Amino acid sequence: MAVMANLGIVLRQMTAGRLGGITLDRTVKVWVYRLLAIGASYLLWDLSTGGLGLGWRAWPPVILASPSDTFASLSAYSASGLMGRDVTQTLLSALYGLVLAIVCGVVFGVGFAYVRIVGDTLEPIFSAVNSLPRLAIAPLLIVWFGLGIESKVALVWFTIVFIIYFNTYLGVRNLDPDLVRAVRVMGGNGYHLARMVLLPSVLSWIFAALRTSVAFSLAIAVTGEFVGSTAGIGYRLVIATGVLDTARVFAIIFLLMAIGFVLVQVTERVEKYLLRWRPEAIG
Amino acid sequence: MLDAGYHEWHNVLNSRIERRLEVARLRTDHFSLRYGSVEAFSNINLEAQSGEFVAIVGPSGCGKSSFLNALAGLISPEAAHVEGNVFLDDVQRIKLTDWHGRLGYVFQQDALLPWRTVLQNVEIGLEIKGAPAAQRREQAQELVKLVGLEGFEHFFPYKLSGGMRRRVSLIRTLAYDPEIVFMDEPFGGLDAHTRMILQREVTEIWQRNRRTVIFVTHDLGEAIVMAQRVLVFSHRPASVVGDYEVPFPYPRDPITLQTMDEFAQLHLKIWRTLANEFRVEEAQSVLV
Repeated sequence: MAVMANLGIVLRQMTAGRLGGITLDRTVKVWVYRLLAIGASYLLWDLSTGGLGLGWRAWPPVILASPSDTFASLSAYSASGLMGRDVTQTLLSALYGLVLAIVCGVVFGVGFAYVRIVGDTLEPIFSAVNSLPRLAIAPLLIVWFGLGIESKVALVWFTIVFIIYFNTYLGVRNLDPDLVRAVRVMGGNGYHLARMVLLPSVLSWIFAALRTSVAFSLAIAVTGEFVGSTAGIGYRLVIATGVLDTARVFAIIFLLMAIGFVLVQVTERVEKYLLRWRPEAIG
Repeated sequence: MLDAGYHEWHNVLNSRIERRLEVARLRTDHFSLRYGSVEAFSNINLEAQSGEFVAIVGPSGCGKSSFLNALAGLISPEAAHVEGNVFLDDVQRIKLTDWHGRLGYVFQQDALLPWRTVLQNVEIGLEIKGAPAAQRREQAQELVKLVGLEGFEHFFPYKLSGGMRRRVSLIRTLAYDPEIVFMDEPFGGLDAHTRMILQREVTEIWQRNRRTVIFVTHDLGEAIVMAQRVLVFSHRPASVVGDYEVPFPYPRDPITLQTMDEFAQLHLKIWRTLANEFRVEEAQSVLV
């Protein structure tokens, strides 16, 4: 999980470096190329699935659904009202899990960083639990919390809480002693230190991990629905796969991609604004 | 020609100086600090009058910074053993909380909060004192103007140059009007030109609003140019081996002052004491 998170950061930094400081000319050019690439992929997809009026198929529809079937399925899914319910269910699981994880992660992170003995005692245990593949306990969570939203919230929470916890813990441990000293000398008490130094410092560490956490929370919520559920995007996806409705599967994958993209973009904007005091805000 | 307004202003200023004469008198009595078996400084008896500008020079690593930190009560009792007494206006002070915001401390690092703009950084002290937002803003704005940082009020620290950051750090300390100000190599790491400008700025500000200043530096020239009195600390464990009056009148201009014979003579006189300490330190390090 940590490797994936790091990879994400590395990728973002690479993209940032490449896109930073380019002229408007370049931006336009890049966008033209992007649209061309998307258009070409689409044409290839359509061509290989009986489109473009040629009626030629490189593979049967059950392997790769055609664009027209996919979008027809998507609009049927939307019209039936199921899409709204599924999306709401999945997003709520992800959101509740994420929020609870942030609250718990911050509380534990700050607490254990201050009560050093507890932190030192629990650190190896946390690391061990953190290295456990989360999905391994998904079936158990279904037994504990049922097929409803609760088991998915628990799974998301369990995945994200460690990311937040470790970042908070590091944030507190890496508090700049000079800043603490400066505020104390000016007469600041514990409350002032918390508000002026601790909180902003910890928040900057959490925000650095937030984009990964948001992407994870959606993925884990959907995966949790694979394991056992009665609603949600993942549930619908499993059903469609079970009856070999590849067009529906494709429709749902596109839907997931769109939701994930929007969520990550929004998080990025928020992060950029809140961390605008940084010389090189990541991303 | 002096008009009534000037007299009024002058009276206000005088009464302010008089008031200051009664406060912020600093005295240490056999003040010593020991980290385990290592003595940082021992038996320091220092007396700074109200509104006096005292500079401390000494070989690097002699315990000058430790002395300030111990005075401010920033050294935790677990980390070191402190002996002797610190008196502010004849009242004993040891812990940081004893100073109750009467102390200002300009550190070697500017220690600006990176997530706060220039104005917000300057406001910290007033915020802690609970001043209303409008008043905070107004005072901070005034100080920003005083050091010529208009237009940078809403900049985050990372966008400022080293000299600008020091200025912000300085006015942040002045903002909450401490009676006594410690400065620990406040111009370290700056280029010679910026240093000279800041030396003059700080001296001018001190003249206009006299606070008791304890100024630690390794630069003897800087000490003479700015301070009324220069104390020479010995090599570790530090003790006071020289106490020199600097008789030059204010306002002083660092550049012209340094070209004067009197400056050179005083510089040489203090330097002999100081150089002796460097020699002792060198000899010790060779022996070790």
